[in-house]
Amino acid sequence: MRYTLDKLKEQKFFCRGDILVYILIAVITVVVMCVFLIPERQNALERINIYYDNDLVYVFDMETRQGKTASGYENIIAEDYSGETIRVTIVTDKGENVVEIGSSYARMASADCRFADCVRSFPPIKEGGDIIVCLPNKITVTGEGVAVSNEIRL
Amino acid sequence: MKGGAKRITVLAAFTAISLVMFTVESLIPTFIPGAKIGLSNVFTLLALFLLGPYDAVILVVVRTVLGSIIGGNLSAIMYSLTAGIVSLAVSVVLYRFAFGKVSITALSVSAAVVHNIVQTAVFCLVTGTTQWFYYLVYLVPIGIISGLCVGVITLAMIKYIPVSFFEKYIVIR
Repeated sequence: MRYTLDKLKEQKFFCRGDILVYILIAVITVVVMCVFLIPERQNALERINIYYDNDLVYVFDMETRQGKTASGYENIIAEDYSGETIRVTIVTDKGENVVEIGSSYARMASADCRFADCVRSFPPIKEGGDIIVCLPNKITVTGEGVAVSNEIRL
Repeated sequence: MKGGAKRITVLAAFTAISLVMFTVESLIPTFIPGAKIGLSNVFTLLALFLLGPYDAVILVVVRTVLGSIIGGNLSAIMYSLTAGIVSLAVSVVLYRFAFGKVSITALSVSAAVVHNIVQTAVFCLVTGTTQWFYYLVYLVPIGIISGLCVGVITLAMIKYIPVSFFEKYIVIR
């Protein structure tokens, strides 16, 4: 099935059939946008949830500015309320992650996993539905909020 | 195997260059996790066109496994390898059945978009976090851009590198 070099060299940057391919990709893009953008996009960040290995280990209430550690996980969670932001340190067998929670955001401040993608690549959580995942350390941070479409405004 | 030592040497060279590009790109921080140009795929496509689909599969598997070990992120093998194999399958199907009607650029764009969708789907399954699907809104357009870049570079290399170079060092007859 390999084509000759001459046939490969004759190739153009655009063929008629490309239109069909690009239309198909455009349809996929539109479907993805419709599925994930139009339905209830959450806002109004209410809670920050921290999961370790898919278990909810810590919940921070953005309104009361208080956090709560799930029972059985007290030994892996440490809170620091001394600064302007609250720092939650999670130390597990996999490694150490520090989540910084500000007045209206949460971000992964540091992680000891190699390359620390969760620190460098994930944008801060600013509204419900946002997420930060540290796959090597099995830590997931999610934002929880009220869905816009569910809000009743008078 | 047709080509013997030359084939293995060319495949090894493609894999090595591809691995270097894969590793260097993974060190560059991006705003969206998993978003990158994917220049290493230039050599996946060259392997597919010049050596054949089996060699391209070997390249993808070796690059992904070694790249993940070097990067220290073994869990990435699960979703990168699955996405790499599925997107390569799309490329093979288009190359086998639509070559000449569909350009290398469109083939590359299709593979890149499929790669990002499959990678996101596997990532969601592994982490159990369906919210991550939301990032497809960014990853699909990024796939289109990266696919265009990879396709144009691959075709430019095929078109503008002299035939004598290909015949002497790369093409297996």
